[in-house]
Amino acid sequence: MRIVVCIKQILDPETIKVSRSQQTIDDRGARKIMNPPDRWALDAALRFKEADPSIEVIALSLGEPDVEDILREALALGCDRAILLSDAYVVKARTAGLAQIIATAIKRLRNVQLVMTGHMALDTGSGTLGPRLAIELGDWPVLMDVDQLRLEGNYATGLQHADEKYYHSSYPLPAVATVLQTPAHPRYAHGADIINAYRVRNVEVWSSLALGIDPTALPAPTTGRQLRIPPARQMGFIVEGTPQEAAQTLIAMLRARRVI
Amino acid sequence: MDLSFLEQLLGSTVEEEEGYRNIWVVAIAWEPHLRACDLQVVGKARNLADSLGAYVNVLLVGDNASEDLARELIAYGADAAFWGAGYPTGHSLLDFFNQHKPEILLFADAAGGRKMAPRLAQRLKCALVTHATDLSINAEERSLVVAVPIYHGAAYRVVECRTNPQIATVQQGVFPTPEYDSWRSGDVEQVELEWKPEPPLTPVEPPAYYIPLEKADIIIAGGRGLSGAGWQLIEELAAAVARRLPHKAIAVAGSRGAVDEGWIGPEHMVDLVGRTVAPALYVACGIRGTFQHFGATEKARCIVAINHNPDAPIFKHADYGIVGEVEEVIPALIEVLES
Repeated sequence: MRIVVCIKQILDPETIKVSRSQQTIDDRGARKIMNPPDRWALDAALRFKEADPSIEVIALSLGEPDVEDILREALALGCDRAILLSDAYVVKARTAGLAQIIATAIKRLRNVQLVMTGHMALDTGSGTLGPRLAIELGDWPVLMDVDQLRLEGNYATGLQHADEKYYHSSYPLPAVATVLQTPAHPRYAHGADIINAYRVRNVEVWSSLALGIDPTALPAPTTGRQLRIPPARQMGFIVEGTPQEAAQTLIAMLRARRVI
Repeated sequence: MDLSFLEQLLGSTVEEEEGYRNIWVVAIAWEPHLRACDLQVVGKARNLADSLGAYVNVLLVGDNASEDLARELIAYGADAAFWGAGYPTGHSLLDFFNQHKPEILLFADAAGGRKMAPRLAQRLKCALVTHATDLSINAEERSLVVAVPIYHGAAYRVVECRTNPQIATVQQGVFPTPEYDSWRSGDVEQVELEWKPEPPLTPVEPPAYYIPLEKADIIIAGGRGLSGAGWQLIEELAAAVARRLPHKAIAVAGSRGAVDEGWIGPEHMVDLVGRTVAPALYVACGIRGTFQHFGATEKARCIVAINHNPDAPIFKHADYGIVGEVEEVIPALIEVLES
């Protein structure tokens, strides 16, 4: 059985700079990383593989050629294969078209029983890829925002977080799961595995032509985008004095503001 | 409608526009009452509909959907409410909306809508805007203009929908819950959709590590700056606040630094990759402040920072700051609270 994990390369939110005077986001010095929620999904998939070595874990991503870096990282972490969907048409696809392309690639792989991804991308993500893929794959069930995902026989089970409550849910495979963060820290790759991922192993690159997709027939994305930067939070009031005085003033101020 | 008189007036051919009108909201009744987030969407839809000259129709589904709840939706601002008890299959929902042709279709960004909206959008091969924090109408194009936070609210992207229908999910808590007006009237109709068998969901106890930080009124958080003072100071401060304000929910949390030091579990980590919080009061003790930490605490009503370094970035984001050693300031605060 095969598990496909869809991972996205994002700009590390820590390294982007918001320029309020220019009303833009400056991403020139930004670092490109694997979307952290996708890393949790990858980690969960690799734990399934540890429990049952017959499971094959395939990392899949889409975008410019430099997305290869996160796929190599996925290989170093323990994935069996890494596939990059990339060509001039594919990188422009958004939402509905994107789901179509990824679903076509997943269908091409055959015997895929579970598709996993993070609950959303931390940059500009909408968190809709999972359910959209499920439709394109032929109305597969979706485990949304799931925690403690498990494979039990022919079922995927997990705790679903919905409206401040947890539900135990169980869906027959094949299924799509979008994964929430778990308390466990995701694994790091060993140095030797990282070197191997670059020297020995290969990232397969698939184009829309190879997949048999007509790129001109893909649905158009939403249009008319502009950026709006919110005003900065105002610099606050520094309470002066000895610790005792400052404590008294602070508590008085908080009371006056009816915060406590 | 016969438009020939208009053609005579305008001297040109007028075509009657096909379909796609009115604003539709999908509300979900898991529980025997309506959810606040759905009502907020209905309230906003009412505003938009008034500026568009359209009606607000609501489709109420879910186990507990009933005629009474549908009537309540009318009182909260809907013009017509359609209800059916159960969860519709994707195909029947698609058929329903293909038949009614909404111009704008809105969901609450909560359980149910989070899954239903993208699935429906994919069936319609349509774009979808999620987590909307602001909605308005471009009157010239009759299109929906939506503001969406990116990088966790560091900036907003303004998207104009040009698809039919225009679909969006609306973030919880950004619009006020509308007034209940028992004098409003409207049509209530039961619909027959194809229902899915019982959803395989059984409520369970939340996992032991789950403490709803999101629900706390006051959060006392500590960071790496506590290394000299010891973590118990945070717990003592929280206990002192709890004694003073017994009716408030008080929680203890940590920054990434505190979690890395092992003082508190990762489930209490306030960080963009941990938990995002919105308490009335957030007290950051010995936290320098990173981008992720600001993102996660941005919605707090009041932030108090205590740090020994006057140049710590946290002071730029705090409403009140005390520059001083944490091990001196916290006992002083406890003393004032106890007195």
